[in-house]
Amino acid sequence: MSIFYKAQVPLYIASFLAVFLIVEFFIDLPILKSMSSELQSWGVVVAAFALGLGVITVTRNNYGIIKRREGNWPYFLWCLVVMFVMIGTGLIGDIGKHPSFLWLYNNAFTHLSSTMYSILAFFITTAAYRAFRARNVDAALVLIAGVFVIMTIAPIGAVIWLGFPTIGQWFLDIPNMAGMRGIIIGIGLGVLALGVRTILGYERAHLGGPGGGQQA
Amino acid sequence: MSKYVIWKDHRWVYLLLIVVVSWPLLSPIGLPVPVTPSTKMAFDTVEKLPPGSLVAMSSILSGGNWPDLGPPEVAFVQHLFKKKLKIVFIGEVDETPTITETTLLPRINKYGAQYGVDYVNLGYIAGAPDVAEAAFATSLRKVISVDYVTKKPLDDLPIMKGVNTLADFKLAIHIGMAEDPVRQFYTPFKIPLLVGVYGMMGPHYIPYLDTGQLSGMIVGLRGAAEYEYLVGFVGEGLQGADALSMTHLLVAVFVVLGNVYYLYQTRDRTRKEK
Repeated sequence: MSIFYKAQVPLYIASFLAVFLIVEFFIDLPILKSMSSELQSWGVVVAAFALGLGVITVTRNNYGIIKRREGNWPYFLWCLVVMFVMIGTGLIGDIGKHPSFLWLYNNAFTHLSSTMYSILAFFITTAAYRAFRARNVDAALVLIAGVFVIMTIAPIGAVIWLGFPTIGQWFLDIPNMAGMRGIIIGIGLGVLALGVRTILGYERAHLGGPGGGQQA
Repeated sequence: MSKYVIWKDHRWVYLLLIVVVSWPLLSPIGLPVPVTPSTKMAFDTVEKLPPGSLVAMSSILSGGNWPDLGPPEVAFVQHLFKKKLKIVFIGEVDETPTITETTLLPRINKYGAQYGVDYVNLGYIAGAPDVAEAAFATSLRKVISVDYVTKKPLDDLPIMKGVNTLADFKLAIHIGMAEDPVRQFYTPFKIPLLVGVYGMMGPHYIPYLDTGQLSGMIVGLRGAAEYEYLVGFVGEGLQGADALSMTHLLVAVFVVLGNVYYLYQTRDRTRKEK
């Protein structure tokens, strides 16, 4: 396939659709609204297909690793087995409602997922006293603010000393809000600049592959 | 001094953490949970709605994020049922419709609400967050034709009669992040928006409360505990508040001790160099 079809055509499509959706947002015409609504529902269909693509990609990658007997290959095999068991039981009868699927979901998947999330508590606890070190004045200020905010979020803070939530809330409402506003405005401007570059074809990272990924 | 420093071996810290989490769960202390302004704003927004008002409840709830996002969603949904409001559930993660049916709704007192009349689960919309939310908000009938539980066409469900866009709802609640519903729900439709967010993300979204783009916010497990207190029921939030307190206290104590030890080490090194 030529570079024109692989890079230029997707670029033109993305630019046209982006300009169309921006125009539709600012101009209140029923025909534009109707077309925009249609486009947004296409987005859902494309995203749904991406899920299927994900299954194919995981299968191909894992199969390659298993075939080559690369390090930890039994884990990749187990990943495939579990994925296809969940897909298989999920497709039996009424999709996603068969007792075998629900049993696996409620008794294995949910608890394993929650456990993975909960393990964060251990990492954060051990990381906190290593990261929050008063190496200089700036770090000391972050440390003091951090301790006050921790004791504000924990209900026990107010029990130990009423000043904890008062001062901690001040840290959240004033310095935090000022900083976050700056970050949010900065992100907004950055996204705007990226959008303009994408529409004009200067930003090509989203195209990937040969001819894509090269920024003008 | 270094021989007394237990945190050099992380296993002691992990053990201590297990103890301080387990102890208040097994034997609750009942520490008071002061209500923060963002939670009170969320509660007041729901309280102001007349019974029968339609509420959109979109969510990225899954098994993995249940510890932080599950309790806020339970608290919101319990309040909505108590107020006799009509709820339309939408999932933005493939497992959200399942966890809503198997884990969320069974622990809720529905006050006699009927499926299809007072609440409905519309299932999963792909393309989270923005594509799914934009499609739901502007053209929900193009992306959803039947509900998740009974597989009935939307027109056969009394709750969905005349509902075409988010403009037909009186309130939107989103469980997950706050930026995307502000972009896709609040900005185009200007309906009140509440969010339930991860505990660590709360400070990030405070500016949205100040601008009025968010009408209220529940922040993680702590926010859920406050909301449960306001609604008047005991859920995972209040049950976990003591454990949350003790773990935060442990982190604060370790931060202070870590700095005392760091100061001691620095002075010791300076003394030896002299």
